[in-house]
Amino acid sequence: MITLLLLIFGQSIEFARHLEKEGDLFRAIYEYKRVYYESNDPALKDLAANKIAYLSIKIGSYNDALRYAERISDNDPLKKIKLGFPHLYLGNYETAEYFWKDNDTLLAWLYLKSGKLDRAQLLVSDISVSRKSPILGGFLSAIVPGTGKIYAGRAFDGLLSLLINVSTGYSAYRAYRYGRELEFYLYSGLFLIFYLGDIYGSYVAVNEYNRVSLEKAVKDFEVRFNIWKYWF
Amino acid sequence: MNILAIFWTLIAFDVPEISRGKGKIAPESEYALYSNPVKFLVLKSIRIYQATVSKVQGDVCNFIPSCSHYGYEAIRKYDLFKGILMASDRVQRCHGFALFYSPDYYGVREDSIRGTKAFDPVK
Repeated sequence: MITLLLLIFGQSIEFARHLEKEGDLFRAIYEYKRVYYESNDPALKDLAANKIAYLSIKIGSYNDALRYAERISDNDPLKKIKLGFPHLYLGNYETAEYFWKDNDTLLAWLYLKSGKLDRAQLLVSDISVSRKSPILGGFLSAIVPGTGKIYAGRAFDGLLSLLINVSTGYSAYRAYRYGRELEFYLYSGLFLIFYLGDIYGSYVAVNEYNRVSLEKAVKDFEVRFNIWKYWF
Repeated sequence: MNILAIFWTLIAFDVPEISRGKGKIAPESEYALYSNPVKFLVLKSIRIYQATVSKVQGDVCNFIPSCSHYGYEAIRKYDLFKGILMASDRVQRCHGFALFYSPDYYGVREDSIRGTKAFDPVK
């Protein structure tokens, strides 16, 4: 009977590994869950819980990952480290910080992901993230329309904003100069909407630039320090 | 004055789930929408634009959802001022090089009818 059980679960775990290798992570998790619930062998259960937690993070199912990471055996010396991963992805930064307090690299990664660049740089000095000021972006656009977007690295957006603002502004000016009251109100209203929209857009564009450059820095960090090696 | 009368008639005919009193309770956001006449007027203007000018103009927008839909959603979701700013910003970003900023800033969507467009919904 025991031999038969081992044969059945042994095959299940092999099949789950095969699915994982093929990249069919959803079905691999399903098979690992089958092993976890049907097996009585603690080592096999632990292996399945490990795999489910790891693969659940990979597919973005962080609550599932946390549930199974908590089920990893207490004898696993890396359990604390592993528990930090789902907490980080769930946005529970303080809890993840508690689990990773002894590991500078993981802590730096956590700080970087949560946007605390200064603290990350204290732990790993050569992290560089290009940051720009959204207020300066808005201010530049208030002086010369479109320049805030050029400052945010979007030259085409900036040039079009400049063109739109200049044309509506000039139309309003011409209508005022020739005493066409209705046209003046129409164009100055349009100009005001485009002008304020450009200032708002520049502010948002610089914020987006900062978000994208932070994401790039996090990805570079993950590759450079091979973050997932801490799981295994 | 005649145009205004037609415009307001159009609006009056469309308000309805509340004013007709069919017993269907509109969601909270809808109450807020109809309680602000200026917001309502702006949203109606966008709908009229979509039904008239946009249909004649064809598919010229570089985004999914299109600028008018984005503006409508932005004004509906946020307050009138912020919605107009967002819509104005979107119109200024809508040019032939919009896809140039994908995938950093926008996603890309393949639409069977509209082709390849930059994906930028209201957040």
